[in-house]
Amino acid sequence: MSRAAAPEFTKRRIRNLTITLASTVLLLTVFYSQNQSLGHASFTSGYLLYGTLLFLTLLNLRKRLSFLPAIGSAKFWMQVHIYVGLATFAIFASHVGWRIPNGKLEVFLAALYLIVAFSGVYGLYATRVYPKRLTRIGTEVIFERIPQLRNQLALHARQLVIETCESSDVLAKFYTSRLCYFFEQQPALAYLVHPSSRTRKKLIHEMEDLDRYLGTDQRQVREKLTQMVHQKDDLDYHQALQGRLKIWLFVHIGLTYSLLLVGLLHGILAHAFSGGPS
Amino acid sequence: MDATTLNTNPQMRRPMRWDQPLDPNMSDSTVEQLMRTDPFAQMDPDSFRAQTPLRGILKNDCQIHHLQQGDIIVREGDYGGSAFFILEGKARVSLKQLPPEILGRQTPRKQGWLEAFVQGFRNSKHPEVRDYSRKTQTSTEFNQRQEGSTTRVFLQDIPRVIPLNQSVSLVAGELFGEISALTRTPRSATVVADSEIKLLEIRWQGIREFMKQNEVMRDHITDLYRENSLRSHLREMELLNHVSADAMDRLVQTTGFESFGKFQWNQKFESTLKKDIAERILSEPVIAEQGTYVNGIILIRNGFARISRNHGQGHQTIGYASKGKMFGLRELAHTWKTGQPTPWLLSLRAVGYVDILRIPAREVEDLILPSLPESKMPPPIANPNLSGEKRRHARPKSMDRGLMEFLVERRLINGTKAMMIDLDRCTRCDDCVRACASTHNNNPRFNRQGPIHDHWMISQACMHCLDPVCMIGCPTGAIARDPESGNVSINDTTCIGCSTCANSCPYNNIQMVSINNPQGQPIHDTDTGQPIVKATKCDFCESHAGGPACQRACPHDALVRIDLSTPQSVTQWSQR
Amino acid sequence: MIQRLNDPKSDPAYHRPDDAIASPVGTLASDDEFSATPMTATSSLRTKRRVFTMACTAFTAGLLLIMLTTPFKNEFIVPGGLSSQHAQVLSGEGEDRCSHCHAEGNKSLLGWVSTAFFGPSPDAPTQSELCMKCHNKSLNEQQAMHPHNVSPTSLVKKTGSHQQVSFDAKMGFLPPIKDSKIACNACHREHHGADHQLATMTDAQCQSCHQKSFHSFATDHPEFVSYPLKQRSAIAFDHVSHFGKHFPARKTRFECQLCHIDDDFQNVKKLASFQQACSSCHEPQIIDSAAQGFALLSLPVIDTTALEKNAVDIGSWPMGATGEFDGQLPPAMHAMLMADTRVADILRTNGDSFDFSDIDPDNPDQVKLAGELIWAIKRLLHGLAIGGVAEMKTRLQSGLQVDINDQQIALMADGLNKIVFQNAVRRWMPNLPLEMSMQTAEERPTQTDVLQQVSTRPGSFWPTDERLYRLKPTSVPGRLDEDILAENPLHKLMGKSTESAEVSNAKTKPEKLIANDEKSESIQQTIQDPPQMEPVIASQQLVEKPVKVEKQAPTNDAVLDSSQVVAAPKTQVRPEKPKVSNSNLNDDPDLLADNPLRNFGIGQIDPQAFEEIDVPPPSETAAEAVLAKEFQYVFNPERMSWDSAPKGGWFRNDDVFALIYRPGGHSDDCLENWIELAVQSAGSGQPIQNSGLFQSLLSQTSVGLCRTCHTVDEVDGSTLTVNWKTKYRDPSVREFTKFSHGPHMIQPQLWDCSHCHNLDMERSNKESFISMNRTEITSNFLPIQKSNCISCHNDSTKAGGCTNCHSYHVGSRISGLSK
Repeated sequence: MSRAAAPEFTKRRIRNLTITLASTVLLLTVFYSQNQSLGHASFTSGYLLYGTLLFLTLLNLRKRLSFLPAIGSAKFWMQVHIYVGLATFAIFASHVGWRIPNGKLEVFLAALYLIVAFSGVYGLYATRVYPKRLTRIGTEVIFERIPQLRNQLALHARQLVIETCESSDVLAKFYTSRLCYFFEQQPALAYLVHPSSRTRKKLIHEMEDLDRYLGTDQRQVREKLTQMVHQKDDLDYHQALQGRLKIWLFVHIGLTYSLLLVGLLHGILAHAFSGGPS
Repeated sequence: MDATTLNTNPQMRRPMRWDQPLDPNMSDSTVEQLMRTDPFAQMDPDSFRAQTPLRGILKNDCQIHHLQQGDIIVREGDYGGSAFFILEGKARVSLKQLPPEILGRQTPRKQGWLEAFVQGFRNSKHPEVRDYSRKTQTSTEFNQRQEGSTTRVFLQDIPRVIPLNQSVSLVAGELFGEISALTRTPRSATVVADSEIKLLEIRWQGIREFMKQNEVMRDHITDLYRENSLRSHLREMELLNHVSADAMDRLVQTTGFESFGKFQWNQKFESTLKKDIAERILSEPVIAEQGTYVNGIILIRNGFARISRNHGQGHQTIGYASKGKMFGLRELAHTWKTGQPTPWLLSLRAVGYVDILRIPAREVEDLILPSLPESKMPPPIANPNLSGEKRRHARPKSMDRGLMEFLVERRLINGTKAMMIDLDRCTRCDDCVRACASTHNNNPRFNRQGPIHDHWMISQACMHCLDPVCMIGCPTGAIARDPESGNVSINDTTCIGCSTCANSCPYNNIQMVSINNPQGQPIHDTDTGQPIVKATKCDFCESHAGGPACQRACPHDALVRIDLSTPQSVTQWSQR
Repeated sequence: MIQRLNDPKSDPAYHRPDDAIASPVGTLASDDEFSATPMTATSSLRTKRRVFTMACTAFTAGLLLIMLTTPFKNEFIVPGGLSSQHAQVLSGEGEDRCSHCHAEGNKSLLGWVSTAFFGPSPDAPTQSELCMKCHNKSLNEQQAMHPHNVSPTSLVKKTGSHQQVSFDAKMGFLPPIKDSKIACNACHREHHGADHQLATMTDAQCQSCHQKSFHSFATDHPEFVSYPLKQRSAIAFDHVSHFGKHFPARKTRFECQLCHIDDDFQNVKKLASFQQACSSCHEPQIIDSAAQGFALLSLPVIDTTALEKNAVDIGSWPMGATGEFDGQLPPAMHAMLMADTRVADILRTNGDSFDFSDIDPDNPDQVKLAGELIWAIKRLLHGLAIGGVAEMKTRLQSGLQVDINDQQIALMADGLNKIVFQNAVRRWMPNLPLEMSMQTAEERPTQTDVLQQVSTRPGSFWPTDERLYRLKPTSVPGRLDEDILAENPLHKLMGKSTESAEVSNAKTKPEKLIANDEKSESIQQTIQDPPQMEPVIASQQLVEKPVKVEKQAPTNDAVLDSSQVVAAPKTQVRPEKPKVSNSNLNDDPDLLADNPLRNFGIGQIDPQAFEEIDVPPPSETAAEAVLAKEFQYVFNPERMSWDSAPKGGWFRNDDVFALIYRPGGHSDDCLENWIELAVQSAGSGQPIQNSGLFQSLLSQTSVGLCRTCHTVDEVDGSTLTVNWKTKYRDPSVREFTKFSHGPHMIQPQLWDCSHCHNLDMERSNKESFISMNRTEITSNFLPIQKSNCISCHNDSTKAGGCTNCHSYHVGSRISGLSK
C-alpha cells in the first residue's frame, strides 16, 4: 500500500540532516586546523566523541524516566539520538585519523564502537522498514502473546480435526502427518532469519488437494484449517519481524557499556602517556 | 475486514423496545396505584398509541425509589437519562455548588516535578496495588449506604452543607431532572432528599412518550426548556448576535427541538456493525435528506450526525458533525437572495443519538438573514445542483474516505482524546505502555490493541468522549468529567466496582481489575470474601504536568492523543 | 477473505510488557480453555536484555583487568608500531621499554588513573626531557625545546619585524607553546608504524607559527636581496678586479674552480689554500713588502756635542750612532721602554710617534730628556742582555698592559736569546756592563770614570765579569771570533751560508775570503744543505736549554754527535717537493702552532729531518753553533745586504744598530704573534691609532702586507680579531637555511657557476674590507635570482616546500645519538 508522501517528515529529515552535516563539517575543520597548528586534535575529538557517546546513552535513561513531566518528548530525543549518532561516525573517523588503528586496545575499542554504531544503523533501518511490512499483513498481535495465541490455534485446530474423525480420517491423517508440526512448532530459525510464505503456500495447496476426498462439512473444516494456517503463518511472521525489531537492541545496548568502559581506559592511557606540553 | 475471534457471524433476534424494563420487579399493582395518582390520573390512557400504552410506559420506563433523608438524588455534573417525580416527601435543591469530596469526586491536581520523580521511583512492582493504610481522599462527609443491590450516597446534616437560603425546596407532585435527561446535558444542580421520600424515576424514553401524548406534560417541559436553556443556548449562537430582543423572544418561542436515534446507542451499535455499511446508513434516522425542501436551520446540540451525499446508488460519507454544528443556512440564504428555492445539498443522518434545534425557515428569512451583515453571509452557491464534492473545494485537504467511514462506523468520532497509532511507524516497542505504567504506579491504563483501519489503530485507551455514556448510571458518581478539561476520570476510592461504566463503554476502554495490597496479595471483601475490583481507565495523566505520558514516550512519532470529533485534526495528523 | 487475529475483545486484561510471559508447556493440553493449560513463566525479552548487558560489561571489565596485569600489558596498550629507528633502539628492552619515552611507562593502572586525573607527579620528567636523554648529542639541551633551538630572546629579535603580521593572518589555533617551549611530540608523532616518517614537517605545520600566508616558494617566497653574501668574507678578495685586471694581466683565465673547490660532502665550496690559489702572485709581494723588516731594537742617533754642551753625560755610545739627533724608536722597543718607570711619562707625553729628530739641540730641557731616554735605552739593552726573552716578555707586558703566554712569547722571540742581545751589546757598547755595574741609583758613572777603570786593567779593557755576559774573555774581539769558529766542528755546517755569502760577494771583499779560507772544503760538501738549517739548531737549543749549554765543555763525543747531526740533513732534505709538505702544514693549524720549522716561513724541510736534528741531547757543540752564528754576522758585513739575510729569522744590523726580524713569507708565525700582540694591546683601552705597534704591523702597507688580505673585525666594540683563516660553514651543523651544491650539479647548465652567481663588474669591494665592521659590505655579486630556483623548485616538482631549504633544528648536528 503506497502512502502519500509525508511532507512533515521529509521536511524534518532535510532540516536535521543539514544541521548535522553543517556541524560535522565545522567540527572536522576545527580538528584539522588544530592538527595543522601542531596541536593534538585527538584530545579534542576524543573528548567530544566520548561525551557524545555518553549523551547518546541518555536516550535509554529518558525511556526509564518517562514518568517525569519536563524531560522532552521521546520523539525529540530519538531524533537527536539518530543524527548525533550519525555525526559520531565523522568524529570517530577523524579521531582515528581516517585509518584503521594499529594498537590492540585501539582496535578492540574501534571494533566495539563500529559494532554499536552499525547496529544502530541497522536498528534505524529496521524501525523504518519492518513496521510497514507488519502492517501490511493486517494481523496485529502483541509479541509476548504470540506463544499463547499459537497455542490457542494449535488447540483449536486439534479440536476441529478430532471432531471430523468419526466420518473419515483423511484430515486427521493429514493433520498428524503435516499440520500438527506446523501448528505446534515454533517457527524454524531459517524462517526467523528469512520469513517466507513457502511452507504456508505448500500446506494450503496440499490441503486444497485433499478436497476431493472430503465431504461438504469436512471441507468447511478444511477451509477453517486453511484460515488457521494463514493465521499461524501471520503469527510466525510477527514473531520474526517483531523479534528483529527487538533483538538488535541486544547488540546496540548490550555492548554500549563495554564501549564506554574501554573508552574510559583509552582516555586514561592517552592522558597518562601524552608527552605533555614541554 | 474486522471480525471477532475465530467465530463467523452469529445469529441474533432483532432487539425490541422494552426488552429491558427499567425495573424488572415493577409490579402491576404499583402501576395501578400510580394510575390513581396525579398527574397520571388526569391523563387519558386512550390518547396513547397502541404500541406504547400509558401502563406500559409506567411499567417499563419507571421505577419507584424510597429514600432516607440526606440521600443524594442527583448530583451536579452527573449525566443521567432519567427525570424524577416526587410522590411523597420533599427534596432540596442546592443552588450553590457543593464541594466535590461531598459528592464523592476527586479534584484533579497537577503533580510537581519532584513529586513525580519520587512517585516514579516509588512504583510498586506488583500490579494494581492499593495502599489503604495511607490516608484516602474521601472526606468524612462522604458516606455510603448499601440498600439491597444498590449503593446510596447520603449527607449527614443537610442544613450545614446546604443552607436554607441557598436552596429551593421541592414538594410532592413536582418533576425534576427532565431537561438534562432529555437533552443529555450534565445535571445542573444537586438534589437531596429532605425527608423520607418516595420518588418515581422515569427514564427519558418514557418522558418522550408522555410529551408526545400528553400536551400538559409537553407544554410543561417545553416551557421549562425554552426558558431555562434554549434562550441562553440561542444567545450563544453568534449567528443571532444581531437580532433584536423581541426577535429573540419570538425565536425562543418558535424554535423546535427534536431528537433522533437511540438514546442508548452504545448498547446496540456493536450488533449493527455486522450489517453491511450501505444498509447501516439507510437504517440511520434521517435528519435532512439531500434534495428535499429546507424547512429551517438545523443546529446539532448533542450526538453525531453523518454528513453524506448521494453517490451512484448509495450514500457516501463526506464528513460528520458533532455538537454545535449548524446546517441549512447556506441554502436558505441562497433562496432568500436569489428567490429560487434551494434544496438540501447533503443529507444529515443521526449516528446513534442526535439532539437538534430547528429554527424554522420563515423566522430565518424574517428575522435572522435581514439582520445578518454581508460579511457573515455564507458564500453563494454557484449551482444548486452541484454535488457536495465540488462545494467543498474551499475546505482544506479532506480526510481519507476509508478512514472517515471507519471512524464513523466505529463511533470513534465520539472521542476527543483518542489514542491513534500509525502502525507504519510503530515498532511495537511498547514504550507507550511502559510510560503509562510508570506514571500509574506500574499499572498500564490502556491496551495497545484496538480497531485498525489501513495503518491506523485506535487503541484501547479512554477517548474521553463528547458523549460519555460510561458516566450514565454510576451509583456513586465515582466516574466524573472535569468541566474544564473534559477529562473523564474515575475516583478509585469511591468506585465500588459495579462495572456499570465498563459495560456501557462501547469501546471496551474501561477495565475492571482486582486490586492487591502493597505485598501483592489480592484484597478480598470482608463480608462476601469476593475479590474487590475497581474500574480503571486512562485518565489522560491529568495529574501529570507533562500531559499524556504515552504520547511523550513514543520515540518514533507514531502515537498521538487526538480529537476525533473534528475531522480537521485527524486529517492534519494522518497526512503529515 | 482471511480473518485476522486482531480483535480488541481478545484482551482479558491490561498487557504488561515487562512481566514474565506465561507460556504454555507444549500444546497438548486436555481442554480448550487456554487458561487451564499448564504454563511456565519465562522472563521477558527486556529482562533478558538487561542480564545480557550486565554480563557483557562485566566480561569486558574482567578482560581489561586481566590484560593490564599480564606481561603482555605493553603489547596490549601500545597504540601502534614505533618508527623503525626507535623500534630498533628499544628492541630487546623488556617490560619497561615504554618507560624510555613515557615517565608513566612502568606504572600500574592506578598510577595511570592518578596521572590522568591529577596530573603527573612534579618530579617526573616530561617526555621531551626523555627524548633529550638520547638526542643530546645532536641537539643543544638548553635550547632543544625552544622554537628553532634558538634562545627566545634572540628569536624575538630576529622575527621582531614579522611579529605583527603573523597572528591575525589566518584562522587557527596557536601552537601549544608553554613558556616559550614546545614539546618534541608537537611535530614528531610516534606510534604510526615502522615506515612513518617522524621528521617530515609539512608547510602547514611551519605555518602554524609563520602565519603569513605562504602557499608556494614560487609565488610567496621573497626575492633574495642579500643572499648568499650578508657578511664580508674573512679574506679580502675583489672578484671584480681579479676577473677584470689581474688575471688578464697575467694572461690567465679567471676560473671559479681555481679557488672554490668542493669539500668532501660535495655541498660546500671551500677556498683553496694560499699556496694553491694565491702564492704564485702574492708570495713575492709579501717578501718584498717585508724589505725593511720588523725592528725590535734600534739605537737612535744622538748629538753628543749638544749633550756635552748641556753637561749631560750619557756614558759610552757607539760612534756610528752619533751626529744630529735622529731616529724613531721602533714600536716594540717603545713598548719595552714604557715598562721603565723613569721614562714612561716622558714617552707617554711624546706619544708613540716620538722621533729623536724632534729634539731641539739648543733646548737644554729636551737634551736632558734625551739623556734620560738614552740611559733608559741602555738599561733596556742591559736588561735584555741579562734577562733575555723573559725580560722582553715582562717589559712588553707592563709596557702594553697585556699579558702574554709563554707559547706566544716563544713564537714572538723566535729564537732570540740573551746571547744575541749580549753580542749586540758587545758590538755596540762594550762598556755597557761596566757602566751598569758602576752606576748606582743616584749617580751614573761618567765617561772619564769608565775610561779610567779600563786603564787600571792593562791587557784587556773588556771587563771579565762572569756574572755579567758569560763569555770567555778575549784579547782581540776579531780574533776571538775566529778562534771559536776555527775550533768549532759545527763550522762546516754553518759555513755554507757564509760561503754562499762569500760567493755572492767574492769580488767586492777579497780579504774576508782569505780570512776564512780553511773552511773552503767544508763549503764543498755542505753546499746543497738548505741555508735555513743552522739557525734552527741554534734557536732550538738555546730557547730550550740555555743553562746546559754553558755548563758543558767541548768534547770529542760532542763532535761526533754534531757530525751525526750534520749527516742527517744531507740525506733527508727533499727540496724538490716543497708544496706537498707545505700544503699539509698549512692545512693543520694545530701542527702549525708548535712547528719549529715555521721559523723559516716556507719551511722547505721535511719534518723528519728536523726531528732527527732535534732529538740528540743539547751539547756544547750546539752552544758553539749559536756563537758561531753571531760571529758570522760580525765577520760578514755583507749580511747587511738583504738578500743574504736569513728569511724568517732575526738579524742584527750593526750599521744602523738595529735588531730586526725578517718575515719568512706567508703565514709567518712570529709576525702573526706580534700582530696578535698589537691587536691585543690596541684592543685593551687606548684607541687603535695611538698604538704604534698596531700602526706598524696592521696598516695597509706595513711589513708583510697581512692586512691587505686578512681582514680585522671589531667584535662587540672593544676587542679585535684578525681573520687568519677563511671561514666556511660546517656542513654537519644545520642552519636556518641549507644549500648543498652537490645535488644541484646533476643539472649540466648549473656547472657554469655564473648561472646563479653573477658578477657585477661595476662594483669593486676593496673598501669594504678596510673597515673593521664586517657587516659593511658591498658584494661583487648580484643577488641570486629566485627565478633560477623556481625553474626546478615549483609546485609541479613538489620541491617547493619550506623544509627544502630551511631546517627547524638550527645548530643541531646531523648525526649523533648518545647510548
